[in-house]
Amino acid sequence: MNLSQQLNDNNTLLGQQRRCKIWAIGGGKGGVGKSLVTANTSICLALMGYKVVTVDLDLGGANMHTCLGIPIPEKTLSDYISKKVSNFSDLLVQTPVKNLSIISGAQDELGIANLKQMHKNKILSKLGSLDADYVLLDLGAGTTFNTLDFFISADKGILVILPEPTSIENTYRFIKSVYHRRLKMIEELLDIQPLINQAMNAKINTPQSTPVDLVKRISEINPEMGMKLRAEIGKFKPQIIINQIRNQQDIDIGFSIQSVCKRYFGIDMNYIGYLDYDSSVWQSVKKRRPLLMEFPNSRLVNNFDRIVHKLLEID
Amino acid sequence: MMEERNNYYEVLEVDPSATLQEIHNAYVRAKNAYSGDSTALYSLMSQEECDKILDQIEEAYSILGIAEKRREYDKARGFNQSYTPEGFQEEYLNRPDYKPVKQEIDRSASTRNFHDEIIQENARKEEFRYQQEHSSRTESAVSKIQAVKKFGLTFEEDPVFEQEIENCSEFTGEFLARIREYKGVSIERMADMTKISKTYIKHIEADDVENLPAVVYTRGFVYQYAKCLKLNPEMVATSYLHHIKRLKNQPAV
Repeated sequence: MNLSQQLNDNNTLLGQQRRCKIWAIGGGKGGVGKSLVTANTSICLALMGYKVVTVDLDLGGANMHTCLGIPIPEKTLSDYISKKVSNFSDLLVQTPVKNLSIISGAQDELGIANLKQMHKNKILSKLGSLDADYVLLDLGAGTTFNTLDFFISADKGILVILPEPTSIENTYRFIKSVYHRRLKMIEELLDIQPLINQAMNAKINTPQSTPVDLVKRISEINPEMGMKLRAEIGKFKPQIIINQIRNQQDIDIGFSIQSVCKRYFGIDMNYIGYLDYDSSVWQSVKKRRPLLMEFPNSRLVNNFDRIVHKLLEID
Repeated sequence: MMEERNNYYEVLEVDPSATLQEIHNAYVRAKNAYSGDSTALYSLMSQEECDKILDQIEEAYSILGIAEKRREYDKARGFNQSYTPEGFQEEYLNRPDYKPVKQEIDRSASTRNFHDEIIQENARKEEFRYQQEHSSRTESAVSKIQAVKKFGLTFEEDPVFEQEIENCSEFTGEFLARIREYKGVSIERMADMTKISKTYIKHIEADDVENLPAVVYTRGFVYQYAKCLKLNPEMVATSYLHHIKRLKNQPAV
């Protein structure tokens, strides 16, 4: 594929006309609660009367159906990719919650975990034209291009973080990867790609190599390009949720991450809320029932309510 | 290197119109974020970088956390310059919900009138502030005659030296002292006029980098000093700080 073709595809990825809003839920590490957040945010939205489709994009490790309390769907994304299913909307499976359907990811189909760019664009364009108000993407762990691209292409990117060093370390790595990949997609920034690559490939924690330094350096060499770069970075505003909080210090970590990211990456994160540590979570997983349905009096219900209101920008 | 913060409000990540309580909360939050045991720093920032940031945070809070100092800072840096008169009452200033209120400006006025109005308005406010401050400290307000007596300068004009002042691009402590002496103002009178201690005035005039207060104070002091000598305070303060910064960076001989 030549470069301009690739850029065209990227434009589809970033700026296509959509019927619905796409929110992607990610985070560098496994087990931080991405699926919990996706499932329960979807339920909240559906209960509010929105038409919601939850898409399991944890390709290779899909289990969103379990979180939402339904058996393994017969038709999955891999069937669509391998052309066993020709109509994308045939993948939709209704859940026990009104207004909420699910599209399941691959069930160990070889190759699907590494989607081609063409497939990704096709899936995205189909998702954007679904008959729904909100489409929520549950992304897998790690920083594979699949995960990064779906995160970047969403209208809102949500990061789930645990208040512990391993999760935070992976979150920063994830942000850096998204940042880099995003800048690579911008046609206007083609001329400065070598500089971007140099800064982004430097190890985290190396002096003079932060993304903020990059912007500064580029602004000095080429002020116009610096402005464009700043504008692009300004558009990148991930939302963060801190999961499993046990005390005020855990809650404060969200604010700290926000501040640290502003200084290091120069990006404005939006801390949209936290989730209390609650043993009802694993109980609900064991029962294979969605938390909000199984424990409607859990403190987490209020937590989710607040998060969803923030996401919908209703105060 | 981290993102540069241009002023104390940016350091504490608050809006310049924040209340004292908001500033305090922001300070606690910032301290949490960059202290050694903060989990949020993990894998991203070195201890050295954090120490630098913590120093900035402390410095910012030492000014913005105290209403009176904050007002001085705002004035020197041009923040929140149109206060409501109530803003100047000490008691009001120190309330946690104290918030500098920006004056609503009629945008429809023509640009020229607009500037004139602002200048006049600021002059009125300044006079009001002066009266407020002094009336709260002494029983009667200070009359204009007394003010002229206090701040008036009588000296014999020397065209050559005037020209030298005019052409000066770097105001050093030594040059400031020469202007002060030329305009017939003793250190004692300068201290009385500016309310700056004689010791600091001497330090400023001696370019005593080691003993000068924090930059923001030095700036405020030099600003007042220049104002009393009828110099351009903004230009002198900036030039002096530049000079001091250079001295600091010179290795000791």
